[in-house]
Amino acid sequence: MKFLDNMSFGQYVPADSPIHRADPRCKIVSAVALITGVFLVKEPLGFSSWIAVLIFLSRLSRIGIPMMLRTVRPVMLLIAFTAVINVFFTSGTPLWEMGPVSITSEGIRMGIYMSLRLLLLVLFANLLTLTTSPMALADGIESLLSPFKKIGMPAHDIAMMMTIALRFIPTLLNETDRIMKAQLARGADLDRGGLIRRLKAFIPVLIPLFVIVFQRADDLAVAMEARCYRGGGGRTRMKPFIWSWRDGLSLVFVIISVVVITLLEGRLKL
Amino acid sequence: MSISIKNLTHIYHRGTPLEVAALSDVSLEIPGGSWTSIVGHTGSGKSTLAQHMNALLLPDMGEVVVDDLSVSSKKDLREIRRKVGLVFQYPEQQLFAETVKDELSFGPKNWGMTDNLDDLSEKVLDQVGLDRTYLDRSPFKLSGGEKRRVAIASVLAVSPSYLVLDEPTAGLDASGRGYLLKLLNKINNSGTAVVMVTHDLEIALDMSDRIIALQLGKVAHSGSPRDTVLYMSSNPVPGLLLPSIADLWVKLSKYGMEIPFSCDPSTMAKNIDEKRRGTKK
Repeated sequence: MKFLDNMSFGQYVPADSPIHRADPRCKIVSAVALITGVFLVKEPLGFSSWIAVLIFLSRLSRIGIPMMLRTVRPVMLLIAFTAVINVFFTSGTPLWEMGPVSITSEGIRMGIYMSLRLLLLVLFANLLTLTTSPMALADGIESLLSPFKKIGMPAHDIAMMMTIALRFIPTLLNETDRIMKAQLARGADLDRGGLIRRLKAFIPVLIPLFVIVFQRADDLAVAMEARCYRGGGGRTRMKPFIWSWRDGLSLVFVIISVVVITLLEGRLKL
Repeated sequence: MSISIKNLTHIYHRGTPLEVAALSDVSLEIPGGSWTSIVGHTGSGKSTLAQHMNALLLPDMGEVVVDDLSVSSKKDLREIRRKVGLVFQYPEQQLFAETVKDELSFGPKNWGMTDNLDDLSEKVLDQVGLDRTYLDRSPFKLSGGEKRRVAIASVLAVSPSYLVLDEPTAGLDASGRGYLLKLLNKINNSGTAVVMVTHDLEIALDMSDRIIALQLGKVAHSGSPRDTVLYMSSNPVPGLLLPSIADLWVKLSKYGMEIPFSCDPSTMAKNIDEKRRGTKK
C-alpha cells in the first residue's frame, strides 16, 4: 500500500504534440484567456462551445479525455459541494419545498452552471500543466513577469522558488510515505478516530518531515552557493524561448474564440 | 515459531503503464531466534520483502504468516506489527518526540502497554548501549549514531520476537558499524530473531545463520554463509561481490586446501595454520 500515490493535479505528461511543443508563454497566456472565457458565458450554447474547445485541445495534445478527467478527481468533492450549495440556496420559483429547504429551477440551473464552470476551469488549467514541464512553466512565468522587474518585482526569484517547490513535491511525497510507514511500524494509528485524534496522530509524521525539509533546504542552499548562484542578474539560458509564428497564430485564435463565443452568446440571448 | 512466506508476489502500480513486479513467487522461512540476512542489488525487492514481514505491504498473491497469525486477517495486523519490529533505513529520521523517554514510550503507548514505562525505557536504552542519563535529553541533540540507536531502541520497546532492519549500517563509519553489529548480535543472543536487509555481503556472511539472495524479485539462492559463498563463486549474482576473504577461501579449496569456512581473518589464518601442520605430519 503506497499511501500517497495518486497521479493528479499538476502532473506533467510528456508527449510529442503541437501543444507540448508550443512556447510556454503562449500556453500560459492562452490558459488565462480560456479561463476568462469560461467565466464570461452563462448559457448552454456558451458552455457547449467551451466543452467542444476543450475536447479539441485535449485531442490535439494527445492527452485524451480519460486522463484529463482523472486529474479532476481531487477537486470533484469541491465541485459537487458547489453544485449542492447552489441548488439549495438560490432564490426563485420553487419546484419542491420542505420546511425551510426549497429547490428552485434557477437553483438547479445555477448548480449545473457553476459546477460546469469550475470543472472547465480546472480542466483548462490542468491542460497547461499536463503539457508543460514544471521547468518550462516556471521559466515562462519568469519571462512574462520580467517587464515588471522595473517596478521592483523579483521575477527571477519568484520563478526559481516555483521551480524548486515543484521539483521537491515528488521527493517530499516519498519522504512522507516512508515516515508514515515507519510510524505505522511503531504502532501509530493514522486512520482511526475523529478529526482531532487524526490530527494528533499526524504529529509524529509532521515533525520528522519538517526536520527533513529544513535539512534539504540547507543542503540545496549550500549546493547552490557552491556553484556560485547569485540570483538572476546576467544569467543566460541554455535553451532560450523562441516565439514562432505558430505561437502567435495560436494565441490569436484563442483570443478570437473567447471574443466570438462571448459575443455570440450575448447576441443569441437578445 | 517462524515468519513463513509462501509464493509471495507484489506488484507496484498495478494496472498502470508503470506496473512492475517487485517480488514474484518468493517463498522462504525465517525461524524464530535466528539471524537471517537478505542480500541483493538495488531494486532486487529486498526492502519490499522487509515491509511484507510486518504487514506494512500486503501481498498481491501468496501468503505471509507470522507465528500463527496470517496477514490476510485484518484484525491480526496490529499484533503482527508488534511481533515483527521494522527498523527503516536511516531510522533516525523518524524521531519526533521532545525527550528520548517520550520517543521510547511511543510504541508501547500505541499498543496499550503503559505499565512501568520508565523501567522499560531504561531497559531498551541499555540494550542499545546508552545509559539512563539519555532519558531526559532531546533526541534531536544526539549524535548521528546515538540517534540511530535510540530509533532502534524505540522499536525494541514493544519487545518484538523478530527485528527486521533495512540497511542498518548505511551511512555509519567503520567503528559505528562494528559497534551496531555487536549490539545486534547481543539482541539476537537474547532470543530475538534478526532479519537484516543489506547489500553488504561481507557483513551478511560474517553475522548470519542463513543468507537469502534476491535477484530481480526472485530468490536466487538461500542457505548457510558457506553454501552461499560456494553458490556465488560459480553463479555470480549481479551487483553482489564476494568479499576478498571469501574469494580467498574458495581459491584455497580449488588448490586443494579444504578448511572450515570463516569470514574472520584470524580464524581463517588459524585454520590454514592447523591444516598446514596437519599435512606436514
